[in-house]
Amino acid sequence: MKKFYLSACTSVLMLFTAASAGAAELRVAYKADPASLDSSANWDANTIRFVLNFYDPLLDYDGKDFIPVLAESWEQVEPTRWRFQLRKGVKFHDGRDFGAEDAMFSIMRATVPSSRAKSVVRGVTGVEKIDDHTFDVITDIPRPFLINMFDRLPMLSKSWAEENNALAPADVGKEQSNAALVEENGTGPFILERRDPGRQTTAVRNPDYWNAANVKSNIDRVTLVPISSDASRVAALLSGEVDLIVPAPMQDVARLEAGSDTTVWKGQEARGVFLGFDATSDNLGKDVSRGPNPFKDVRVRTAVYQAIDADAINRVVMRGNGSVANMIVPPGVIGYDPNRPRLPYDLAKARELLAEAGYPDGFKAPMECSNDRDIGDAATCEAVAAMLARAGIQIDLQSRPSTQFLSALLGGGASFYRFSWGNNGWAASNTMSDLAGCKPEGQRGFAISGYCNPELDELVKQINSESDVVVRDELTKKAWDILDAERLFVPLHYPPIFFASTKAVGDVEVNSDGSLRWAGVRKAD
Amino acid sequence: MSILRRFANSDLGYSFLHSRVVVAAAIVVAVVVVAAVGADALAPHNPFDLASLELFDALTPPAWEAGGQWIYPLGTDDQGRDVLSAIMYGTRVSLMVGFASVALSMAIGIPLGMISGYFGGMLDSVIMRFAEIQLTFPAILIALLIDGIVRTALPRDIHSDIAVFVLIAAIGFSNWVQYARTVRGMTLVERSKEYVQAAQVTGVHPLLIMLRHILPNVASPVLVIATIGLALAIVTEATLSFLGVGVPPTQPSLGTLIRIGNDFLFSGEWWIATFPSVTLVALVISVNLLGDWLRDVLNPRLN
Repeated sequence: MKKFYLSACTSVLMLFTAASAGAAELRVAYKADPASLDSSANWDANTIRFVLNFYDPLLDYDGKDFIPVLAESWEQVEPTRWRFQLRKGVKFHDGRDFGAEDAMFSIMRATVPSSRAKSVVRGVTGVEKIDDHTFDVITDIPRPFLINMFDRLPMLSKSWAEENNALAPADVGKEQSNAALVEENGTGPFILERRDPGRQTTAVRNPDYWNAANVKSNIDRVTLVPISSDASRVAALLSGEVDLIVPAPMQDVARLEAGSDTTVWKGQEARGVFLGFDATSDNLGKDVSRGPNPFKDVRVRTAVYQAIDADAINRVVMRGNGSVANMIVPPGVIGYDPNRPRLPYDLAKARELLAEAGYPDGFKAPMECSNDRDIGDAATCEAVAAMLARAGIQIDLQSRPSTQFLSALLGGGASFYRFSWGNNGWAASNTMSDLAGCKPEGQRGFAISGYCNPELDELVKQINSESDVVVRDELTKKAWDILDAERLFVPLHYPPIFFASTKAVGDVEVNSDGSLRWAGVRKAD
Repeated sequence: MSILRRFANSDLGYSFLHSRVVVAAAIVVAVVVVAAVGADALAPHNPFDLASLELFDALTPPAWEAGGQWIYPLGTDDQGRDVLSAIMYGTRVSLMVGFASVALSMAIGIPLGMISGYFGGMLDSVIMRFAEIQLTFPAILIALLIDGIVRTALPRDIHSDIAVFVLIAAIGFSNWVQYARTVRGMTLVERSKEYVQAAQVTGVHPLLIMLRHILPNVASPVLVIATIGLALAIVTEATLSFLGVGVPPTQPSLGTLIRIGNDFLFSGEWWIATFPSVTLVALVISVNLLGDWLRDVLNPRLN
C-alpha cells in the first residue's frame, strides 16, 4: 500500500514538473480588452492587432516591403484586376483546408454593409476564382494601393462562417452578435482556448502552424488579462503576476527602465493623435435640446486649434516622449509632408476668432474621449479642456473606455472628440476619405465631421489611381490644402509605444502599428 | 464665553477636556472642516477653474522637496492642479456628501423606527423584516446598486449634473437601517413608560407623542450613530469615487483624488495620492474617535 502511494506521488510529481518545464507560458496584461474577435465588426486598432494572433492576413508589411503570408504572390494583371496566388497546404485551426473560396469570401465579407472594415477593401467590386489557389480581385478604377491594407484583413473560413451563421460581420452598433465575435477559426500561430470577455482570454500555440519554422517565439500558452488601471498593471508586472504589460504607462517608463527586474521595449508608433469636430450638424450631439453646434463655424474650429498648445501637451502630458504633429497622418505614410506648417498657438487670436464668430464669452460643449485606447489619452483630454477654458470654452469632458467611446463616436452623437488614427494602409488618401469623405447621412462612420466636398473626393480618387509619384504628391498637396482650410482637425502629437516585461521575457518585437504579436515574443531560456 | 464655561463645567466638558485623544481628534476635525468650508477663501488656488491651470507646473513635488515651489505647498498633479487646494475642495465635497447622506439616513430611519416601535404589530413586522433583508447586503453593495440603476436609467449628460445627489441618495438609503433599529428599540422602552402612557390617556395625538416625548429621549444614541455614520459615509463616498462611480471627475472628492493619484504611485510622484489619503484617514479616524467618546459619555450605563 505504502509503495503504491509513493509511486502515485512520484508520478503526479513527474507530471507536474514535465508540464512546467515543457510549456512556456506568457501572461500578458493589456490595458483594454479587445472589443471582440472580429475586426470587421469592431474596426479599432486594439481589436485589429489582437485578432492577428489567431488569423493570418494575405500579406504583411515590414515597414519597407510587402511580404507574402497566405498569398505567395500577387500582381496587378490588368489596371482594375489584381491576381493572388495562395499558399498551398494551409489549414484552419479546425482542420479545414484554406483555399481561394475562403480568401475571396474574407475579402467580400469586408465590403458588406455591416462591415466596419470597408476601408481595407476600398474600390473592390468583385472577386473571381481562377482555380483552388488562385483568384482575382476586381476594382472599380485602377487601384495601385489596393493591397496596402490587406495586412490587417484576417482570412476566415467560408464554410465555418456558414455553419456558424457569421457570413456577415455583426453590426455591433445595432447590438447584433454572432459566433465570429467570440470564437475564431483562423490559420494563425495561436489557437483560442477560452475567452471570457473583460476577464481573461487564453490561447495555445498552433502545433500545425504552416509557418512554424519562422516563428521565433517559444511560447506555448498565452494568458491575457485586461487591467485598465495603470498602477495596477505596473504592480502586476512588478509582483511577477504577469510577464508583459501592454502598454507600459508613460509615467512609469523611467522607473521600469531603471529597475533591475524589468525591461522596457520601445517603439515609435505610426499613429496620429488629433481633435475632431462635427462640422455640419446644427445642434450639439445632433440633439436640439442641447443647443446649437458652435463647431459648425470654421472660425470656432480655428480658435480651438490656436487655443491649444500642442507643444506643452507633448512635453508635459506625453513627458516629451512623442513628437508634435503637423498633420493628422503620421510620418512614413504616403502623402505625409514634413513641411506642412501647424497653426501657431495664439490664445489672443483664438479669443478674437471666437468673438468674431459670435461667442465673445465662449460657450459650453461636450467632448468625447477614450481613457484606455492610447497612451496618455485621458490626460491629453484634460489638458485640452484646461487650455480651452482659457479661451472661454467650457468643456464637459466624457472620458470613457474605448468600447463605449467608439460606440459614442459611431453612434453619431459626438460634436468634439479626441481620436487617433494609425497608418491606414500607409496612404494619406485613405485617411482623408475615411475621416472627411462624403458619406450618406447616418453612415458617417468615422467621418464624424459630416463634411462633404465632391472636389476632395474626386482628388482622393485620382490620388488612389495615380501611379506617377510627382503627380500624386501634387494632388495630395491640393487635397491637404482643401482640408486645412476647413480646420476639421487639430493635429496634436505622434505618440510613442512602450511595452514592459519582466526579465523572464527575452525578446519582444515592437511593430510600428503598436501591436503585440505573441509570435514575436520569446521567453528567456 | 459663558457658553464655553458652561460646557467646560458640564460632565460632557469635563470628560472632553480630560481626554487628550479626544481633544486632538476634535482639533483635526475642526481644522479639516474649516479648511473645507472656507476653501473658496483659504485655498491658494482654485482647482475647478481650468483656465487657471498651468500645464508646465504639472508634477511639481511638495515645497520641501527638490524642485518644489512654495506656491504649491503639497505639489501639483499631472495637470498642474495644486494638491493642497484640490484636497480642500475635495474634502468639502466629501463632507457635504457625508453630512447630507447621514441626514437622509436619519430622515428615513428615525421616523420608520419610531413608527415601528410605537405602533408595533403588522407595521412593525413589515418595516423590520425589510430592514433585516437590507442588512444582509453590505451597504457598499446597495450604494453601488442604486448608483448603477440611476446611471443606466438617466441620460448621460443629466447624470453628471446630479451625480452628487445620486451619491447622497445611494449612501443615505444604504445606511438608514441602523437608525431605524436603534430608534425602534428605544421607542419600545419609552412607550411603556408612565409619561407616555399618561400622554396617551389624556388623548394626545400619537404623532405628537412621538415628536415631543419620545424623540428627545432617543436623541443621544442617534447622535452617536450619526457621528460614526458620518465617518462611514465619508469612507463609502471615497470608495465609490475611487471605483469611478462617485462624484464626476470635474468635482473631485477625496476618493477621486486618491484614484487619480493611484496611477502615479509607482512613478515616484507619491504626493498626488499620499496627501489626500492622509487627509481621509485623519478625518475618518478623528470622527470615529469623537463618536466613540460620545457613546461613552452619553451612555448612562457606563457612567
